[in-house]
Amino acid sequence: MTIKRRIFLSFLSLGISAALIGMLSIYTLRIQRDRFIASRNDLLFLSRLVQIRDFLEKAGKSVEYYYYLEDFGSKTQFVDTYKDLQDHMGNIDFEKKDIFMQETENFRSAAEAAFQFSEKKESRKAEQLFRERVFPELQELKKTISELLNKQNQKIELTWQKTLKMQTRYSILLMLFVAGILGVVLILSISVYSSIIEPLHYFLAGIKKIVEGNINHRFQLKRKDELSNLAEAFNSMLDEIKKLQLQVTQMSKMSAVGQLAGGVAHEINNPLTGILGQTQLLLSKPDLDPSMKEKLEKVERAAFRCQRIVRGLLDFSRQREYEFAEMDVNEVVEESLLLCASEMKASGVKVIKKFAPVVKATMSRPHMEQVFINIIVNSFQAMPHGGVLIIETRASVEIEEKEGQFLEVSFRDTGLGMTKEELIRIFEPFYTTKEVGKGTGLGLTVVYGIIEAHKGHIKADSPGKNKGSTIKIFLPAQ
Amino acid sequence: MKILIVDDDQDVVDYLKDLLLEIGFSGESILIATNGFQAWRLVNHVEIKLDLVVVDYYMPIMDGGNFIKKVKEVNSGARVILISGDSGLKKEESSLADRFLAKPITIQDFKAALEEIKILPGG
Repeated sequence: MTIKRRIFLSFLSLGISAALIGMLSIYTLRIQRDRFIASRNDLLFLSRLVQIRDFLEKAGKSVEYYYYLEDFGSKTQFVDTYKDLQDHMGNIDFEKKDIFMQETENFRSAAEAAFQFSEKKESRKAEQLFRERVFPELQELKKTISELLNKQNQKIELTWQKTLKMQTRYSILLMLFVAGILGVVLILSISVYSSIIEPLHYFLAGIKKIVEGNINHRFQLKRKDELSNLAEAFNSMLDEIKKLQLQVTQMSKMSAVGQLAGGVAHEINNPLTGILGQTQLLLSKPDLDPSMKEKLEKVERAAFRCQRIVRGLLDFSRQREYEFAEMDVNEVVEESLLLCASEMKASGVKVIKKFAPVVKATMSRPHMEQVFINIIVNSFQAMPHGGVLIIETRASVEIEEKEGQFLEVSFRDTGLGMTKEELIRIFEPFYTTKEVGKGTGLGLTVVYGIIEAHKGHIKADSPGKNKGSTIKIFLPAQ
Repeated sequence: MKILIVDDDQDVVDYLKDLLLEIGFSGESILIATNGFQAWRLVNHVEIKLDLVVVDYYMPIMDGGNFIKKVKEVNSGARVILISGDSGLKKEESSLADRFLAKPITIQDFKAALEEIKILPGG
């Protein structure tokens, strides 16, 4: 799984968890709020029922005082209490209230009738009324209200139990959620740690090794994500650095060898003058023995070869007089081709020119001619049985090795090509793939030196042996 | 005819002398010095009129360039061939002489140079 996906999933799961907890909390809080409102109403109802019961008790007491203690003042108290009872009944509503009201009314009218009989001194009638109607009806009313109270108490008890149950359920659910989220967080932490932190430590350790000089160290991650891509990128960067390091070593070796050889070459020219000159003097004798002559000619040829090698070394090691001027590269290439006309004819190579319209650069003409001739002749020699040489010029390109704009002259042939080893060593002094005696191994070394003096760059490339090669020259563009 | 060969290398001196003899110059006409200073003393004290000077560029004590300048002061008629192991000698240095030849010097090159500056045996 890619790190991008891991992180996305982490945030998604955390987001979903938070939303669920939030929704659950809001839902529970709403239900609790409704329950609280309902229980407040229930309690209010209960307290009103209690008040009604109290009034009934009081009214009953007044009647009892009147009847048993013959406290006639109790009648006024009964009337007042009954009025209060009626007022309270207005604030309350319940099932069968009408019947209850009717019964209270009956109780009141019976009590008042009994009071009247008593006042008229018809004590038997009054007593009968008290015993048969007033007291039983009072009892009935008390019973009804007591039932109502019981019912209401039960209701309140039930609501409380429900609320408690819900609280417990919510607490358990919340705990489960929190545990779940903790689990998710733990898994994500482990996953992130193993997918990011561990490889980072691995990278750090590897980089430390490389810094200590182990350029051959490579990164290997057994996975397929951004970090394994990073490892691959690191590896190809290291390959490039190694290649470059090799090139730099080659180049510095080259320039050191070149300079030393330059000094030695200069000294060799003196004895070489003696060898070549004296041989030529002997050869100019008219009465020379033929076998002696043949041998002397061999010495002369060998001396001339020495001369060529020494010239090459001097050309490379000394900055000969450069005269820079702005000129058209196409024209210099054309001129160089003309100078190689006889070699071209002999080799049977077809030259194809793909020139950009105007390609101007500041250069030293004789030196650049030497460069182009060297490369063209090399190319002809690489195609002993004929082939194609494509010379292309481009006005403005960018290269990795140096900053700025460059013009490019490329020579692509269908010749012998080069191996990777040959490509690395191609500009090295005395390195040649030609037969002994055919090349000095200095041609491309001199070319390299001249291009350096022009602040340009030269690159050789080949897909492999017998697959042709390409030499590209870059000169600073105007 | 007086010819002066100036070179610090014996092999070169021997060859040039042999070559001049071969071409037809007499042994008495050839003078030899192994550095610029020695040659300069020769020119200055003996007071000979030189026809040709063949001189190496890089030499100890006094180099070929300075020697040519001094010779030209006292002996403006002398023709000068500058020789050097360094084929890439700078123009201002090689232009001091009438001809410049890079070592190794072939018979053909030397003869051609002599013809060019019109120095001939018995001339």
